[in-house]
Amino acid sequence: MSQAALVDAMRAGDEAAFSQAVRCYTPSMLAAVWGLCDPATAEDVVQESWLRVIEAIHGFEARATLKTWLCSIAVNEARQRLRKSRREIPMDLDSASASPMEERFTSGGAWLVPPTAWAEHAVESLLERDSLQQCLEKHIAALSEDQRSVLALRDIQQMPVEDICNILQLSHSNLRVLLHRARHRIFAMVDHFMETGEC
Amino acid sequence: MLTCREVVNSADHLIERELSRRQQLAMKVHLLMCRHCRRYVRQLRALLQAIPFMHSKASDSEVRDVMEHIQSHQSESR
Ligand SMILES: [Zn+2]
Repeated sequence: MSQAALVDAMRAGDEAAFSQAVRCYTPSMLAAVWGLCDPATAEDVVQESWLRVIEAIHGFEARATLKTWLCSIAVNEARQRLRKSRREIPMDLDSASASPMEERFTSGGAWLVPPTAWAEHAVESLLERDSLQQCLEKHIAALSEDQRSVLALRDIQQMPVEDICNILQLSHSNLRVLLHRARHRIFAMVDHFMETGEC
Repeated sequence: MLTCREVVNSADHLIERELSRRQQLAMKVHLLMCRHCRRYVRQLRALLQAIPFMHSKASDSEVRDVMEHIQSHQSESR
């Protein structure tokens, strides 16, 4: 079903269309709020967001994609809860969480600890290995909230950079820094796994 | 001449084709000469291609949870 047809069906109160949308877009919405709240709250936030969608779908304009629009609703819902619990999330752009790749170079910028050669087919089967998948999930969960949000939206959900900036209200350059650090962390983790077989 | 650290710091921009032609060329030259950086870029690219498959669609139980929540809410408000 095309996006326009799906939206029309949802507006008409078609329950099957609504189920389809929930099935299709819930992961993106969960990813969008991942960095803003803990997993249990995230599910709750997304459920509340869908209730909002029922009312708001009539006002949906096709300027944004449905996915981006739904994610914005979820992020707004999560932000409202944050405000209620008065928890401020500081932007994670300081050096305290600098890239773990930094220590792998000499002061002159040459490799001190070069990357391990990953086995030939390791990466294609990367996520077929349960232990590695679990290890990745653990490390992603341990990222700072900002890093986790951008990694989830960009690299897992593959959303356009512009949309992510809008949803998370980040400047383009801040998004870049966060994404870059998150990727370095994930690379270093997989590299360690490939070398030692341990998480 | 780029250092290896600089190459690693620009690797994801290279993969996402966000570098100017001049920067791209500088990267290419370094990569031709440096096997460690070549390995880094190759493996990072493979990793970034693999990650999207981590969370594809909501599981049936997630969808069921959400639908039940919505239905119970609707019957409450009726
Ligand atoms: Zn190099």
